[in-house]
Amino acid sequence: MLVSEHTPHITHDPARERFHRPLGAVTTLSCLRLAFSDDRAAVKSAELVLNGDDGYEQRWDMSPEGGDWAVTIQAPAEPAALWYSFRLTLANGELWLCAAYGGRFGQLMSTRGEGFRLTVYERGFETPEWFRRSVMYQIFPDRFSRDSSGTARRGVERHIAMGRQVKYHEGWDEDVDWQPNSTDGFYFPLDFFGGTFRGIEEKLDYIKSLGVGVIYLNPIVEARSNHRYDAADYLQPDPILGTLEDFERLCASAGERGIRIMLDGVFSHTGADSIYFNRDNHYRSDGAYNAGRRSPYYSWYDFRKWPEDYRCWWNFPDLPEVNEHDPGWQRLVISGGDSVVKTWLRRGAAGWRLDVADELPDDVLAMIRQSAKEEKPDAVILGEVWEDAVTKFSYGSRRKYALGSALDTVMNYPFRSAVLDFLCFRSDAWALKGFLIGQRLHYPQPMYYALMNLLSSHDVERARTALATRIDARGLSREQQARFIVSDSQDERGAVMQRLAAALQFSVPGVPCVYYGDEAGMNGMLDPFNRGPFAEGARPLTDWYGELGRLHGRIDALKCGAVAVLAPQADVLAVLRCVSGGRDCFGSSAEDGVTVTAVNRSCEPREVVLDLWTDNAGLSGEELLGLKSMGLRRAACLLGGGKEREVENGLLKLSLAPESAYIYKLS
Amino acid sequence: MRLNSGAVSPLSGAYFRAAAEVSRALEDCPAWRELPGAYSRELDGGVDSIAAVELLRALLDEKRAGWEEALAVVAGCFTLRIPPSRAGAPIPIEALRALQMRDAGLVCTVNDRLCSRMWDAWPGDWLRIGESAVIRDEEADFTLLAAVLSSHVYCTKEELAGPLRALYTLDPARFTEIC
Repeated sequence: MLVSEHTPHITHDPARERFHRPLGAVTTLSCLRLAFSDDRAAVKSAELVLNGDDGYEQRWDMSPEGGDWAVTIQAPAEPAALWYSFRLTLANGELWLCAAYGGRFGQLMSTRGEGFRLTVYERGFETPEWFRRSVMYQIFPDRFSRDSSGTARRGVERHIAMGRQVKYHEGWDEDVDWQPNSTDGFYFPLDFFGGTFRGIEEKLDYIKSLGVGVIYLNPIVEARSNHRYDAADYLQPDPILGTLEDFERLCASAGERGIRIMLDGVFSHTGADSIYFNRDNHYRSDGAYNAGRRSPYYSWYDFRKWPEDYRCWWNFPDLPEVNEHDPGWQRLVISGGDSVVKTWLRRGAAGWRLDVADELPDDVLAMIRQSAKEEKPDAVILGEVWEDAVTKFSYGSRRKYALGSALDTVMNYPFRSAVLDFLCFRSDAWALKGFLIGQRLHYPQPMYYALMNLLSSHDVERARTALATRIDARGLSREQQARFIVSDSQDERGAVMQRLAAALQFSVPGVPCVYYGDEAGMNGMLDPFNRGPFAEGARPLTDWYGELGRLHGRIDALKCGAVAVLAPQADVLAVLRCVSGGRDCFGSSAEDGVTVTAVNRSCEPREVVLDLWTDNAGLSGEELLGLKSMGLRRAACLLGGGKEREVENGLLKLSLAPESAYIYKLS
Repeated sequence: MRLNSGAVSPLSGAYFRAAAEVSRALEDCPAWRELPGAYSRELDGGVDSIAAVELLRALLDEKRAGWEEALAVVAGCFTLRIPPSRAGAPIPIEALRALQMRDAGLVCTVNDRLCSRMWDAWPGDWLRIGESAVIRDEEADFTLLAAVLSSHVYCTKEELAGPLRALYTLDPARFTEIC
């Protein structure tokens, strides 16, 4: 790498429309103008180099334009994750202007380095507006709420009658099981607390009070384990949860309250104890294991040596993997008239969260999308993806599921990591700002505004615990996690930081998802400790979430506004959301408004000035003009107890208490 | 402009006045760490900002002060009150170098430190840093220089929203808006 004397004068910033117009990801075949500055006219000629996977490369000559060098190109016809850089000829030789500083700004180099990212996504890609504007609540069905009808007990008895080992927790406040309970010395999740559909229905008013518009249920189909990721029968609800009628009534009751239900589709594998595989002969069906080639499901699975040696998920014999290109599997699960995907939507569900989406081929994901949207055009398809969904590489190729043909959205685990890193002082506000602006620029816009922004889930330690202990739970054994006690002072710290985390979660674009019990301050390390029975907690925190949910519901800017991210100091992050011109960025009607969320993680008070007119904080040129035209003069505090402040020429001065979060409405 | 040509440039005049003033102040207050209690001056952001640089030079070179100590003393002695219409145009750094090379070097160092501070807040954002630096296109913005070196700045909201915008967002406590 060469740091040249020209470095300050030859720059590129993909967050400024002067250099990248339009801002952010672009659709196929759309026009894109790319430029870099050349303050001292040192460049003699320049070339834009665009490259991607499989040797893809295209080059364009650039022309000088008023102190910059620029070119307008047409984006490729195929969606792709691409990179670009600039090859420059100067008087004393050739230099490359490449990406540095986390991919945000240019760095002159003597050889070609990392390029700036460019996401090209499918023209016409849309995501359901109702989802983009919602708050989500995730429920682990066995652990949320019982009812008094005896449903759960009857269901347990049915499982036992089939020959399954089941433990029923009589006391709702008992600890979850975690110790070895099988003959081979392993822990198997067969302990149930008896949460039901009716139990959820009885708590719908409580859920609604949090401002929730969509409930995501972990798997509900019949299965052996308490998590139900080992599906036994895709078309039947688990009897412990209730009947089909109970489910349909839940959907209807939720619908009356403006809440939709999203289900968890576990399609890359089934349970070994299932009608499809039937390893334990608990079913009368001809399963692939017990009936071999006689079974209609035999071709679903890959037997290296029938019946004992078969391909299974992460080598768990209880979870045989399916062949997603098997026509019979596709018909039953996806494309048939009464397929699993369609049937549950018909029964009242509003969408699917796809378990381990990156283990399903892109074409299969596209089929799921098509099938779901045929049944319900505004159904949501949400994928479990742990990394950057646009650049994800798996099974030998770059995945295209985030580029418009498959997933509407993904679980935004990187968001969780970035926020927790900030609030645990492993990074700073500048790093968090860089991450958030990066997501704004790199995700297709329809997906960006639908990202499932979570802080906890059934697969990670609860945010409260992560913030309280600042420990990576993956470094602890299950026994250590079981015995870990979060001290009072740690929990106090966790409680304080959780409010800040939630404020950020509800303020950035996307769908904030509250994992059941987070709003009550539940602690929990990894599985199974993050799946404890729901316990009501301290009202102040629940009220905080409730207020965030209400603000989110009431203020269009928080639901669908453009975004700018500011970091005036290492400990302070601010998120501005803005709707102007009566429309959101998708052209849908939205009420004008501006909010600013400010978070101070420090134990000291902070006085900051936010420059709301920063031109590379996430707003496009048009959005910035809209913001400036609103004549903002005052900031009224809606959450956090701050005083009213003045806004002058786009500058907002705030005094932030230690470890505080505020949401201001600007007018 | 040559010093013996019979005409004295505003910069040269300001420099010699500043040099004399600083020298007298240090003579009157041998315990230089206590200088802020004995010597104070309100700058207007014009060529008289050279006084702050000259004091910095004297503390570093003659009193062998450390950087942070010297900057703290300088800040303690100076405030900046920017008049409604700014006093004077940017000063070519070459002109300052010709007049007092050491002071020119210190202005460059102050600029580098400011840019470094801005780099912490906006890493890689050369455009923003360049627009907000003390030295731009080989010229020194003496108002911004004085704002960096002074303990407090009194200015209009237009100044806060304009040329001092970046500095104001970095360090708001040092600024007071005046009508």
